[in-house]
Amino acid sequence: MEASTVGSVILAALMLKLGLYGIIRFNLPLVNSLLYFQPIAYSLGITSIFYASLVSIRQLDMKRIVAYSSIVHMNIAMLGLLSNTSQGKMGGVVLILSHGLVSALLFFLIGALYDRAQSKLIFYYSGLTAILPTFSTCLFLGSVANISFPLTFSFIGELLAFVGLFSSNSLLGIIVIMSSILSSISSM
Amino acid sequence: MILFFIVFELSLAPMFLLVCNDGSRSRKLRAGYYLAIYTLISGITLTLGIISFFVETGFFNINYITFLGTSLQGKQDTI
Repeated sequence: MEASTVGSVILAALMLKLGLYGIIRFNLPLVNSLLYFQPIAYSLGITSIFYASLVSIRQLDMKRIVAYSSIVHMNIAMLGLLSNTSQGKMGGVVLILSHGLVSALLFFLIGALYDRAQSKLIFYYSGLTAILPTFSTCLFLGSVANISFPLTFSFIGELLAFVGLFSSNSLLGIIVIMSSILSSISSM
Repeated sequence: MILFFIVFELSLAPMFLLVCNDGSRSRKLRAGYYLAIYTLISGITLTLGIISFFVETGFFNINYITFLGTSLQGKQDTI
């Protein structure tokens, strides 16, 4: 994560969605080939979710935590889209939209911290709420939205994607919910 | 589909400049090269997919009506 703040925001909020746009536009109409490639896409998605969650747990850099959690979100959106149910597709689209807002917010906040203190390591910022109360409230709300807590926008998308995954393959849905809990540990 | 491919590849250029010029630390050139390599490799798979789609159906355009009779179109679940 050596890119500038603006580069990270554009990369996370716009360019990550290029692949999912391609899936929505070009792969979802081809239902037969979609069903043919569904098992390998599910396996790759689950592997990627678990790997990115486990990596993001032990990161010290705040920007890396947001970046790895955005991998998890994009994979959940992809699994929801490829489940080929209407709830899953809707959840994938809502998750794309909410991730574009939330990750941009978090990258801007971390970039503002980095411009002032020249560090992104998370243990230097304990007790930040005594110095910057409004800022840390925004950071807390962004983290809460990033782990798809209820009452946030990304919860709607993630819930719909899980409903679509359950109606497609219930074992897969259980595994993905477990990994989503795992990925939310990293934001604590 | 061709337009998507062209725009997908063109989006690499401003991102490369943005990462390499405005990067914050000394490894920014390396980060730019990683970005370029990953985008180009995924562009190769996109090219293979477009070519195999063209071989299968004979056209580049994804239209819901024109490939209704081909082997790619199954039961449609509307969003």
